[in-house]
Amino acid sequence: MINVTKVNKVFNAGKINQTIALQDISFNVKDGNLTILKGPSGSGKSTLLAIVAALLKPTSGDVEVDGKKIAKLPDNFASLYRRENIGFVFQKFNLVPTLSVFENVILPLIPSNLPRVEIENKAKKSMEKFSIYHKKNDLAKSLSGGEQQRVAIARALVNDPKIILADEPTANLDTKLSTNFLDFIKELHSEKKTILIATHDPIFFNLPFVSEEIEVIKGIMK
Amino acid sequence: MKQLFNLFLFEYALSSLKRRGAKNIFILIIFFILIFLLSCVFFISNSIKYELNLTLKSLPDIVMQKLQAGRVQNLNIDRISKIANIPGVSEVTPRVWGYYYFKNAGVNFSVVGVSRFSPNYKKSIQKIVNKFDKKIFDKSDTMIVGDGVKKTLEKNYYNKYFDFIEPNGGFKKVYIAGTFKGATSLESNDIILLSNKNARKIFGMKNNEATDITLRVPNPKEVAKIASKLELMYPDSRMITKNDLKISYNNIFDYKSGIFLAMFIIVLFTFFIIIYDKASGLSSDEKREIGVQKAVGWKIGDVILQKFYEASIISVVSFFLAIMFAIFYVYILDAPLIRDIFTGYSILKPAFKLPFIVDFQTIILIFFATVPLYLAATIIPSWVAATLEADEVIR
Repeated sequence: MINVTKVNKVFNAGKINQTIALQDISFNVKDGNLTILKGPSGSGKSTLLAIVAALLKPTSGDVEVDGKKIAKLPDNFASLYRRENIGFVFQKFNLVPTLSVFENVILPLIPSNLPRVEIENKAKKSMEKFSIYHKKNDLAKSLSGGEQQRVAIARALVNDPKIILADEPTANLDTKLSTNFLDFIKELHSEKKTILIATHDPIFFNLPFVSEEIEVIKGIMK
Repeated sequence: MKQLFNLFLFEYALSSLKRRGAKNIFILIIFFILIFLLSCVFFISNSIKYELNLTLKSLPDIVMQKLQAGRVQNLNIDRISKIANIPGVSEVTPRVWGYYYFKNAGVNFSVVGVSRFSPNYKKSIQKIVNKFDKKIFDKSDTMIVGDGVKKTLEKNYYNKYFDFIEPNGGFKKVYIAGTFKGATSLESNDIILLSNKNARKIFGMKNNEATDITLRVPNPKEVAKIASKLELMYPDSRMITKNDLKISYNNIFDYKSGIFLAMFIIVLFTFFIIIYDKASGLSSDEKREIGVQKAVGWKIGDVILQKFYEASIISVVSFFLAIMFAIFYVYILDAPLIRDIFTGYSILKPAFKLPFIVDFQTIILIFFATVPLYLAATIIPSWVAATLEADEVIR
């Protein structure tokens, strides 16, 4: 369960270029639900996702995940929280272009210091699931957009996280690849993963398996 | 189950080095050159200092030289008995010696006259005299030469004898009766030992003349006092004490190591440019990678550990390679090119082997002067990037 309570985020507070990104945002996502955060570009959706992932600290307000407050976690605990609970699919995929597919996928597992066989098995399973295993030795920069996205999803899920956050996952994909991504999401939803997607792509709107759609415009929840 | 050593993290660090191969190879080469040069300087200077110390130990406590118009002149040996009566002086020895310029090889030999019955001024020379006693004195025209001299003469086809040119233009044929290795290479290499009589002939000296007089003073505290007493007794002469010689030797050596230092500073400067480049921040790619690592659950400590592995691999590999190459270069190859910077002086000119003097203190000093500096310069900017909010870095 994700509980977001009265979250505010102000960038460059007190400076000339001060920006209010989020104002009094409150919502919750139940376990196993798929929630869509929708709104135009620059509305604050990505900032909200980053706060839920503990990549960013809110200026005020609280975020609770499974009863644990994560909004003000110290850096090391925030990293640990992400490693154990969150699978994040970034808008630009954020792969390391000079690493191979395999190296990108195991990136979240490296600090866990697990035995080699265990790491390799987890990576293989995740890559196979998203049909990218045949490219495991290719460099990320040599992949097509769709392939890069599959690597990003495989990396997000390699730790088998409870929560999946996706930030504009179809922004860099054509219609066919966007539909493929939707299939992946449907599959993950059927596995009872808690999913929060920030998007302005209409392909995600009014889907039967979506639990809730939350609209954010100029940092305010509608 | 967690492993004791995170092999994947280490492999990741290796692959990271490989990915930025050209840059890292450049740093490795500069680091290697820096440590190699630094080690060579230390190794060569340690060896030469060791040689010099051995040489200094065997030097007389006071050397008396006669000066005329500021130049050293031969002195009359009549004064010896008067000097020997000074309390505190245990031994007074007239020396006949000088340099002989061997034009063919462009080197100076040190020609030293020795005496059969009176003691010679240096223990090492006395030992050689005792060993070759018959060879030097039984036949009239023989000499014993140091290793270096022998090699130089042989190269110029003087295998059995050498024709010295006397000041009056005549030739003095002297046969090589033996070769010796001294206690130190510096000492033995350019020395020719022959009887005082022959030495005087080669230098055109009278029978009652010597180049200088050496004194032994068993109590070091009395050296300065005796030297000043002698200066009063013989105003035409100057006294050189062992301490003066020590300072003079060190000055010559320090001057030469200074030249080398100038060269070394250039490399050091390059090294600091690298350090500055590293310390002034990471490239946008490196920052982004750290941001991605943080976003997928790496702690600051994991990022720092990876960077520590990277910097350690570069610096420690360069360090050990450079130390090994320096040992090979200095002690096996005898430090060609670099050694010439230290040894341009006549007594050092003939080939001599550097003694193997490597102390761990020097190696540890080189290690701590370079490796931690590089580690810090690599880790600090990474730590700064890792403490930023990951979202800020990857956006």
